[in-house]
Amino acid sequence: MDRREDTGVRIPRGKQPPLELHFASNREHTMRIRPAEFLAWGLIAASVAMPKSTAAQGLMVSGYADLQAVVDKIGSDDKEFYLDNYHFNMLFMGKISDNMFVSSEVEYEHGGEEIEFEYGFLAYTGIDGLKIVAGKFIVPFGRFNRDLHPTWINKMPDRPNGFKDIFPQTYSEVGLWVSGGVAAGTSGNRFVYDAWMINGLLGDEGAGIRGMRDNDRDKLTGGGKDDNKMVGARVGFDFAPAGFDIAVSVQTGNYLDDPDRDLTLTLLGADAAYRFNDLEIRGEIVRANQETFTDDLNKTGGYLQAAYRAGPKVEPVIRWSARNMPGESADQSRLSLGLNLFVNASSSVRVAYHINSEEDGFEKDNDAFAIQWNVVF
Amino acid sequence: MSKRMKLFGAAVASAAVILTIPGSLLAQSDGRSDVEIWAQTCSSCHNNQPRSKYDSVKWESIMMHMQLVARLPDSDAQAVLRYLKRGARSQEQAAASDTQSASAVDPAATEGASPKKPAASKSEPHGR
Repeated sequence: MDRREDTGVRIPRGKQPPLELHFASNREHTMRIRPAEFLAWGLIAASVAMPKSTAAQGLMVSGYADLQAVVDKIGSDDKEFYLDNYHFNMLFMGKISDNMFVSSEVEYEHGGEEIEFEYGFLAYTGIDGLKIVAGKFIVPFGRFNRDLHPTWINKMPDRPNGFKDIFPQTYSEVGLWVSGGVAAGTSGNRFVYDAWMINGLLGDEGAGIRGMRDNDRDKLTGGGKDDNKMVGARVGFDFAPAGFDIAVSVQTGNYLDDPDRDLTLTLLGADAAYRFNDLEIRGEIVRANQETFTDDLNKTGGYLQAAYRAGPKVEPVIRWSARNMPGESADQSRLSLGLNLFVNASSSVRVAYHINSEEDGFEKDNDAFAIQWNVVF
Repeated sequence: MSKRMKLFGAAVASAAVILTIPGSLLAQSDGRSDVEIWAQTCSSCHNNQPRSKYDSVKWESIMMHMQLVARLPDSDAQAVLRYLKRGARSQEQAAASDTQSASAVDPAATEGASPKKPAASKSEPHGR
């Protein structure tokens, strides 16, 4: 979610310049407050001060948190060991009326280096099979991005490697989203669908897709004109009694940060999962076709994962993830071996060893080990 | 109209057509119990949380959010909510135990769960 500049300082994606509050009596005393940070602490304060009458409406605070220890590049001279309070994310949600609710999540990541809204939306639920959402939401392309990325749900301490670079994870955006499920036949089978229109990914010609999040009108280099909307859809079928679900996703639109020219980025994806007793197998694949003024760039990423609940407290996991980029030097793959130990229903410890492979070969000994303790509250 | 807008329009139109199909043609009463629907849906993504973790009012808010996330038809969402509310802690318990752990064992954990259904085969605090 972040990038490093040459100084080694983490610069969160899309971070707004801090507000500088100057006090008239002494201009040397300057408070630097980011708008999202200000908002986050305001929400937390409001929740603490929430009167009982408000709580009775169903307004509530929830969230998830984790701490992880990582040893990177095992075997190389550049080995690194670090601790990361990756998430302490707060969720605020509430039923406003019988047919409306609000939901939001404030990201507090990397020990506070990143604080921003992951999502915040208003939803209308008055029509069976059709939910209407307006605001900032996690883009419902595939499954991992929207449903599986929280650390208390994700079966590994981190995201599928490579895959996250083709469809950027976690990707939320402002727009309009309709969604629903319609029962089909008996026993819980259902057709599911999503359709959305959002501001979309934004970047320079041929840029990396992961860096295209945060389409912020104020940061446009093309003169402030922002009409490069993207549209998307996901349709699928959930054979719930059989434990099998499958869906396809698409998102397309102009990605070029230039008011006078267009370049289209189209993402095509497929996801499927199968659950049989204590075994779960799931996978996703996404292919990006990215126009440039010369040739199109084709990028592919995906993962395949199997998890087996060997008992009430133990779950071994294996995951293969990869990306295939223009030019072999950027290809990557990772085989991850993991073990989940459940403390209780709300908390687990996840351990993983990642065997990394890069076509470039500049880092031959870049395996990694991670251990994470997470909790949902 | 651009190609993208046509695509978006087609997706919305398709959804609208499906929604106009009479429910009786698609859905039939299948006799599933509330707990079976709960076990079938929630555990497909995450560990089932103890029902006693929240009171009924909070479960209502959570279910509005989760119905959206899981794309549940209203009938299934209502069945899950009924099951959760039956085991929810009371407002008095919630007020009295604000400082206690929320991961208490749910006394109604084994209510009517078929041993062959996913997740319901385990005691609820550790259900998938």
